[in-house]
Formats: sequence, structure tokens, C-alpha cells
Amino acid sequence: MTRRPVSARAVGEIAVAVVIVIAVIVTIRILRDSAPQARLPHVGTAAPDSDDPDIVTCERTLPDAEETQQAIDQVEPVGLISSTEVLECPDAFDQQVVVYVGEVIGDVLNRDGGAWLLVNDDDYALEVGPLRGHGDYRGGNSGLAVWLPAPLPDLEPGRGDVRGTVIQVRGRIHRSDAADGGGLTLRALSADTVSILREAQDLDRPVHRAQAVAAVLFALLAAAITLQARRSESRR
Amino acid sequence: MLIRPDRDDLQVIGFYLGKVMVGVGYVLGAPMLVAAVMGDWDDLTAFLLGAGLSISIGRLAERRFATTQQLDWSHGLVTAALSWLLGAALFAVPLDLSGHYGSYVDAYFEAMSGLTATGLTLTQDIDHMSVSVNLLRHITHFLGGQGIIIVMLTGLGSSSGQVSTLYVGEGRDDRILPNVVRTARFIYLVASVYLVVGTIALTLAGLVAGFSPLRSVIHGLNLFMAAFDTGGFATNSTSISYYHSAAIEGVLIVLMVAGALSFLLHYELWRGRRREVLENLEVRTIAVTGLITTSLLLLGLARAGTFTDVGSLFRKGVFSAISAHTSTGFTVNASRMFVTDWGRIAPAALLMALALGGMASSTAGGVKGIRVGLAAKSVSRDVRRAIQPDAAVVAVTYTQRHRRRITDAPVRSAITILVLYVLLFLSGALVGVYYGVPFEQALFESTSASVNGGMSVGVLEPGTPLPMKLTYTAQMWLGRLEFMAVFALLGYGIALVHGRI
Amino acid sequence: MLIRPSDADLRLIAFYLGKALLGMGIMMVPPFLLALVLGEYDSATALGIGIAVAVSVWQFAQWRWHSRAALSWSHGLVIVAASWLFGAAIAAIPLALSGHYASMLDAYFDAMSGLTTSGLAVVQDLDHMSVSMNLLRHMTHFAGGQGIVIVLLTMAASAAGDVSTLYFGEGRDERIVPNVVATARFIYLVAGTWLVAGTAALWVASLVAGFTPLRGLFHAVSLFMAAFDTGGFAPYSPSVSYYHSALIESVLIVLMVAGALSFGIHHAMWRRDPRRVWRDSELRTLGLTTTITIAFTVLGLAYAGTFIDVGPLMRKGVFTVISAHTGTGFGVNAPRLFVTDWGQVAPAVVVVAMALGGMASSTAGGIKAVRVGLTAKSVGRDIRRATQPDAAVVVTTWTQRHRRIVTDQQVRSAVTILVLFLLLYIGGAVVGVYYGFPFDQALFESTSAAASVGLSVGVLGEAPVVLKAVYIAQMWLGRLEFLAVFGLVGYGWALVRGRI
Repeated sequence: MTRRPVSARAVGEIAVAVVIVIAVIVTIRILRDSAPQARLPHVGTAAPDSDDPDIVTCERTLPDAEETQQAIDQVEPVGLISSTEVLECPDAFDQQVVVYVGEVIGDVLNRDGGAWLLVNDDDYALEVGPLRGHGDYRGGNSGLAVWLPAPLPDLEPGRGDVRGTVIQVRGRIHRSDAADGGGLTLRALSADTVSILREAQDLDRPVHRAQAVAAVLFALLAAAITLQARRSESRR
Repeated sequence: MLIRPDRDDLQVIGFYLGKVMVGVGYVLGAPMLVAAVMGDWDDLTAFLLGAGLSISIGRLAERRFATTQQLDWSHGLVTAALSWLLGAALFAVPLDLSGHYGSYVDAYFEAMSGLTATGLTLTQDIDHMSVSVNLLRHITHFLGGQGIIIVMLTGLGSSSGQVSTLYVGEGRDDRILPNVVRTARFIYLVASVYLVVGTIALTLAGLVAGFSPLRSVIHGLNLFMAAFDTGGFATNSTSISYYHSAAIEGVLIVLMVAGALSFLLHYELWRGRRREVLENLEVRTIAVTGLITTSLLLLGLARAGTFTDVGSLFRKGVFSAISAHTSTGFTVNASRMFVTDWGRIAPAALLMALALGGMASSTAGGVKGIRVGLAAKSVSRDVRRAIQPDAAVVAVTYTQRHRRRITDAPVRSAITILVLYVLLFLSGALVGVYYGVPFEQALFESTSASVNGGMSVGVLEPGTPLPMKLTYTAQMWLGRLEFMAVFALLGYGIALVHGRI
Repeated sequence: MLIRPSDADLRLIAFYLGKALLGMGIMMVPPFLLALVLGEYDSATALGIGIAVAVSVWQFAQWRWHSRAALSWSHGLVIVAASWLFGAAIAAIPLALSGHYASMLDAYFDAMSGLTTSGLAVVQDLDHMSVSMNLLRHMTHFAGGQGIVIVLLTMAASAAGDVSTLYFGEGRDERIVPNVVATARFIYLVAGTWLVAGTAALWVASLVAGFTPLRGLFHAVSLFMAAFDTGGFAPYSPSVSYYHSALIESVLIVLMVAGALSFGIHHAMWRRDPRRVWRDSELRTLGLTTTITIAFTVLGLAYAGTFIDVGPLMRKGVFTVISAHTGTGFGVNAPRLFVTDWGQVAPAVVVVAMALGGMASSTAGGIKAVRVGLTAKSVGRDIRRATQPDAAVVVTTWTQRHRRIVTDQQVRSAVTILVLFLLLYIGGAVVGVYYGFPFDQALFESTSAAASVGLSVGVLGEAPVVLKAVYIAQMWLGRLEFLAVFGLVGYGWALVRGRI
């Protein structure tokens, strides 16, 4: 077999291919950014005490059991808190009674005379609604695991294009909740301390027409090339 | 002397790349169906667009580079390296269109993280992601975990002689059966048995945990793919702590361990040879390293006082250790809590477990048990040689299917790769440090990316500087292909420019 | 199958160990004489006790365990490992008696640090230490440094270094003693020449810097021994920043680099064979890694804004990297400044430089350029092989004196030691973390100890006893490049479990 050098034509083809790929990517960007809007309104709760926790890392000193119990007995409710604050210094919030507002996410895990919830208090939950509705990027999600004792209010969790029920809970934070295998949890003090601030809402997003058209075009292209390939194969 | 690759070489590479791209298009059909059932029209069009694009490019390449030539060793490596790059690029298209990614780079990162079974994520507002897009993320785990090229090509009816080098190129150098296609078939068989059994077990556990039947199946399927392929994506932002269920955690531990076992071991178990499990060098090595890292982790957690009771300590500690050692990356606590609540030793132990990784020729990442075991055996040989009379012949043996004697060549390559991994961890950490991340956290994140682990201490987030995201993407790619294929690609590039005809 | 060592083996080991420990006594003679001259009588008595102990041990070994048996390879390893352990104990005697150490362990730490040419110090109130005792500290560098060169050269035939064939082409079962005589003579010639020239240069530089002649001489001798043996002790607590002299720093750079060059290079230079120097693969590796680490350190310092002017940036940056890379450990700034003023990048690069170390068969510590180079070559070969057609034969070569093909066996031993060093660095860091130090600082200190460098970020100053003991073990392991220690451990194991 003789070795053939790479021709200028092949290099040209590669260049054309690269240009086409870039063009496709640009098209996709445009498509994505031109998605129809459906922004949900601000939930309208009082803002947490501080949005930016000043404690970045927190060193824990181990208290003895007696002191801890005294500290628990004396706690004053600390008011409205955010999940980021708690995660930045879990120890400072251990056993504190707090008020927490957020959106119920995913599923309601009904069991053992109550339910486990994931309750998010990020911007998607409280301010702008699900990301798909507006494309206003606010980072990842942030929330706390919440335990509600029965009877439960009527909850519709947020998924896909739905903003779930936004609830307000008064409860105690357990940094390491033994009953949950050591997880960080917020246990509602009782069923009456849970209130619904806003019912679940659907985004009602219109279909992204331009994307649908582009998709059909690409599908047709693929089908055409495949058919053509089949035909030239059978002819051979 | 370098020989410049000629047109035939490029042709055969292009041809097989085309096949892989067509495969990507077909795979997108699965989430498309789900989107149709759920009525997520925008997602459906996104998948259709992605599939059309992949199949068009793939078919064009197949036609343009049509060849009956066999792949040789270097072709296999280069094709493997490029397939992962291109595959990620194509999967990133529907992900990007879903609107959950700040940029195409983020979507590309996500696709690479999925295909390499890493599990680091840049998804924004994942808690409002549609079921079908979420399914696609987990399918990338399944595909990448089983070896993307091998799945595509054997699935599309290539013959064994054509693709055997690709199998090695993907970092799976243990051929169980003489024929690659039969090996691949066996891998499918194992994977599908686990798929059925694992998904049923997880679904049942989900029902007990309080999910509705449909949601339970969705969670079960996704969790299975992330666990068995030691991936680490999860359907919600809080990973496994979302489930509050010891039963689910228990099933996941079994699946993660099964995923970290090599297919060779699965094969031996399948054939009923239990002795292999007890004697295999790699199994023994991992048992030892697993025990050490888990104990250190528990010690660290106990010392830091993270958990107040022993039950929690063991439940969280053991799950995290296994998740790290199998390079899965599931977490049972918020990732910031590694920094804010776990003290200093426990994260260090996790880091070690991550770096060590699972078994070679499994879906797990990391340095891998066989390399660690060979290195240890070789050191012990040196020690024994040092204390024996000068004339004594010192032979050290290990068992992997057969009893073998340690020779220099495999030890050399094992330790070389080990060193390359360590360099990869450190260089990624330096990039993080450059962007102002504290060293420990930068090292953790860099290691997690390089070993396709997926645990995070919160360094990686949508707002992370672009160069860091690109570094992590490259690390995932390098780590998954275990360097060789990437080196071959680099060498190919150099040879194209500088080589002699 | 393990064979239990016999009485004759132990007797032989003890006999040679006694000879080695006499070296400690000889080392103490110059400071002893100096103490008498300067009238530092307490120091003189302390040193006298040290000399007496060393001589007694030697004489006892001579009398009780006299042996004419030939040394085998494993005996050699055990003797080497044990002589560093016991030698440090004897050197620690006068140090402990000097009253500058809070505990026996601290004195042992400094003795081990000196003998292993590390340069980490836990001495208290160094600035008021007597001149003779200070000289002893620097003498330990010289004794340990020149000692290790001999040991490494003879050990090199082993799996550890694999550079031996270079010099003698002897098998690994050769006796230690006979070839030492030939080599040692040449080593002392080289070291003696450097001693005279280096001390003279430093003396002149210190006179220019403003010292009186006598004090200048004391500083010159001490600095020479610390620099040429890549040790890192310094007569006063601020290390080299005490001198405020660019001239002294430049002379030290030359001496540090000379100390980090292998005996083979010195030999080539002595023979005026520049081609052999230029072509040497290990030297090229060292040059490359040094250039890279200097570049990144300077970048990191510029990025952190530590220095305002380019002059100071280059002066401090280059000196620190060379000090780290050669395993010396002289500092030109206060240790805490690495943490508080150097940003994140520059200290990280310094850690890398420390970890890499100098050349094999030199007094430098760390992984060593030969291992780094061989590993890189082997990876390069793998890459080339991956891109070539299946039938092509791919080889890579390594030039040290002659050009040879790199074999799997060489690479295996090089990467093994490399990995062991990495484990040693990380292992020490984890212990530091356990005692509450931040990981980056713990890693810095641990690397500094294991690579026998001696730079510190201040962890050592607050270290609990266990951590100090770990650093001692690291210095010992790193200095002997594992193999001798493994030999000792294996010997102990064989004593207990071996068959007769």
C-alpha cells in the first residue's frame, strides 16, 4: 500500500466542517435565547435577616451535653433565615427555632405520620420562578430538608414548568438529626406552624416555534442523508 | 522518527467517528419518547434537533470517509479520544437548548461529566428540570459508563476485528472473552440484569419512602443509572439526602459497589467462581484501601463531632466513603457542609478514597485498585530483595484470574499512570488556587473531576471562572481515558505537523 | 521465604556501626577546639562529653564485636539506616547539654535535621547561642552531607537510584568499603576545594557587607557548610535575610547549585569535559524544572503583589526557588510571610520545587531530577508508541556519561521511589491536618522535611511532639531514599519471623 499525503483539499474540507459546526452552535444559541418568556411574579416575603452570610467557615468547639441543653432551653426564635446562612455555619443554627420560607420541590414523601419535603429558598423559588420561564440565570438551587407532621396542608411540589407551593414554616434546625441518619433538617414545631404563602403555579409557556422548525429541518436533513446513503449502497 | 499520518489513517478515524455520532443521534430517541409522553414539547424539539444534527454529521462523515480498512492501535486510541470530545459536544446541544445552562460551555461540561460518569454538575435550577432532560443526563452516565464507543459500534453491527483496539482505547484493557463483540455482549447482559433488578429494588424502596408509583419509577431508573455506572448525577439539587431513606441508601451502596467491580470479576462471579473474589489482587487492594479510608473518615467525623450519635455517624460516613471510593459522588449532605461541618480530616479521607478509585475495567474512575496493588507489591519485592542474601531470587506473585509473577513492564506502566494522575490532581488544584480558591478545596474539586468522582465542596458552580470549568472538563476527559488515548491524539497532532512522510 | 539473620550478621553490623559513629566524634573536634580558644567552657565540656561517648561506643564495638566477615548488600543497608538514627542521637548530646533545646526530642530533631541536611530547626534563642555550638550545628550538615554522598554513590547500584553503572559499573553485591576508599578520596578533594574557594568568597563578601574579619570568617564557614551541603541552618534566626547583601546571596546561589549537582557532574567538570556536562540528561531535567518553577513563582509573586519593584521580586523569588529546589532551605523572608504575604500561588510552586529536589548522588533531597527525567522520558515513549504504526519499535535514551536506552526496570524503580516520596509528603501533611493545621501549610512543612529542604511556614514552631517525631522520621526516610530504611525494617521483621 502506498502512503498518500494529506491533500490541500482535505484540509479545506476540514475547515468548511469547522465553519459549519460553529454556525450550528450559533444557531442553537440564538434559538435558546429567543425562547418565549413566562416569568412568575415575586413571592413577596420579607427578606431574610442577611442575604450574605458573613461567616465563611466556622470552627466548632464541642460543648458538653449539659451546656447544650441549657442553650436549647434559652433560645429565642431567630426569625427568618436563609438556607445558605445555615449551610455556611451549621453549628451556629443547631437547635435554633427559626422561620423559613420556600418552595416545595419534587415530591412529598408521605410516611410515618408526616412528610419529608425539600423546600428551596433560592431565587427561582421566591423571586423569578422556574428558570425555563425567563432564562435569567441565578446559579444552582439551595434549600433545606423540612419535616412536616400530619395533618399536611394541600401541597403541590414544583417540577419542570411548575412553581410549587410556597410555604412558611416555623421549626427547629437539627444540624445532625439522629432520626434522619444524621442529616441537617428543619422540623416544623407543629402542623399549625405551617402556612401557605402562595399556591402552586404553572408557567404556561408557549411552544418555542423557531426551535420546532429548526428541529424538523435537521430531522429531514438526517433522513435525507440516510436514505441517500442507503440508496448508493444498494446500487453498489 | 515520527511518521506523518496519511490520508488512509485520517479516513479510518473519520469513518468510525461518523458511526459514533450516528449512535448519539439514535440514543437521543429515548428521552424524546419520554418528552412526547410527558408533553414537554420544547424538550422534544430540542432532542429532535440534536438527533437530526448528530445523524446528519455522522452519516456525512461515514460517506465521506467510507473505508473497509482495519483500525490499528494508534487509530483506536485517536478515535477513542475524539469520540468522547465529539460525543459530549453533540449531547450538549439538547442540554443547552433546555435552557438550564448558562452557556454552551456549561452544557458541554455537563455532557462530558455525564459521559465520563463523573457527576459534577453546572445545571441551574435543576429542581425545575423536566423529566426528559433529566433522563438524558442519566442516560449519558449509562452510555459513558459502559464505554460509549463500544456500545455504539457493537450495537451498530461492526465486527470484532474492526473495533478491538477501540475497546482498549477507552481504558478497558481487560478482555474477558476472546472476542470483543462477545465481551461487549456479556457486558450488556450484566448491565441489563442489574438494570432490571436494581431499578425494581429502587422503585420498591421509593414506594416505601413515600413516592407515588410513577415518580418512584422515574427516580428508580435515574438513580440506578447514576449508581451502577458510578456516575453521581441526581435528579434533585440535594442528591441522595433528598430521599431520607435508609433503604434507598442501602440499595445504592450495593449498586455502587457492583459498578466498581471489574467486568472480569462479574464474569467470574457469573460463572460461579467465588474463589476469584477472595484471591484477586485488585479486590484485596480495594478491601484494604476501603477499610483504611473508611476508618479514617469515621475517625475524622467523630473527632470533629459532626454527628451526635453513632448510628448517624456510620450511616453517613460509610455511605460517603463508598460513594467516594467507587468514584460515584452521591452525597448525603449539602456539599458546603464538607467545608463547614466536617472538620479537616474527614474531607481529607474522602479525598484519598476518591483518588484511589475502583477497579480497572469497571465504570469507576480513579487511580484504580490494580495500579495501587501492583505498586505495593513491587515495593514489597524491593524490600524483600533488600534483606535477602545477595544471591537469593525474590519473586512476588499476584492473582488476577491466574497467578502471575510481577515483572518490571506492568509495574512501570502502572506506577507511571499513577504518577500522571497525581500530577493531574495537583495541576488542577493549582489552577483553582490561581483563582483564589483555598488549596484544600481546590485540590478536592480537582481530584474529584480527574477521577470522575463527582463529589464537590462547592467550588464548582455556574459562576466559576471559565478557565477552571475548562480545566475540569479536560481533567474528566483525561481521567476517564486514562491518559493514553489523549496522548495518542496529541502525538497524532504533532506527527501531522512535524512527521516525515 | 525469609531467612533469620544470624549472630554473625548482627555482630558485623554492630562493628561497622561503631566505626560510623566515630565519625560523629571526629565531627565534634573542631567546635571543641574552637570552644577552648574562645573560652566557651560550658560548650567545651558539652562537646567533650559528646566526643567521649562517640569514642567509647567505637572502642566498645571494636573490642566486643570485632569481625572480619565481608559486608553484603543487606548489611550495608541496615548499617546506613541505623547510623543515621544513632548518629543523630550522639550529635544530639552536646546540643541537649547546650540548654537551647526544650527537650531531648528537640535536640534530636535538630541533630537529625542537621545530619540529613534538612535545616528545619527547633532551637530556642538561636541568636544567643555560643559560637562553638553554632558551628557544631553547621558541622552536622557537612558530616551528613558528605557522608550521604558516599552512601548514595555506593547504594546507587540498587533498585533505588539506578545511576550507579554510570560511575563504576559494579554489581549490587559489591562490598561497600573498598570502592568507598577510591571514591571518597576524590569526593574529599572536590569538597575540600569548594570549601576553600567558597569560604574565601563568602568571607570577602561578608567583609564587604560590613562584618569584622573574625566574625566574617565564622559566618563564611557556617554559611558555606549549610549551602554547599544543601543544609539550610543559619547562624542567626532570620536566616539569610540577616545579611542584607546581594553579594552573599549570589555566592550562596552558586554554592547551593554546586551542592545539588551530582558527583558525576563534578567529576566531569573537574576533568574539563563540558560536553559531558551539557549532554547530561539529569542536568537538563534539573535545568528545565528549575526554570519552570522560577517562572511560576515570579508570576505568583507578581500576581499577589508581594513586591512592588521588579528587582526585589526577582532577587527574593529566584533565591527562594533555588534554595527550595536544591533542598537547601535558606530563607530570605520570615517564615510566616509565606502564608501572610506570598499569596496562594507562589508558596504552592515553592512546594513543587521542594518536592522535585536536586540531582541523585548529591546532598540535595527530594524526588531527584533523574527520577523525574526518567519518568518523563518513559511517558514520552508511551506517547510516541501510541502514535506509531503497530510494528514500529520505539526507544528512548538517557544520557549520563553514555547514551543508553531506557529500560522498564530503570523506570519502574524511578517511579516507585517517586510515588513513595509523594506518599511521604502527603502522609506527613495528613498528620499535620490531624493536629489542626491547614492542609496547605501542613503540606509545605511536610514536604520541606521529607525532601530535606528546611523552609518553614511556621507549623514546626507550634508542632506537638507527635508531629515533630513524624518530621524526624520523614527527614530520615527522605534522606535515605527509603531503601535503607526498608532494609532495616525488613531486617527487624526477619529477626522476629524469619526461619533459621
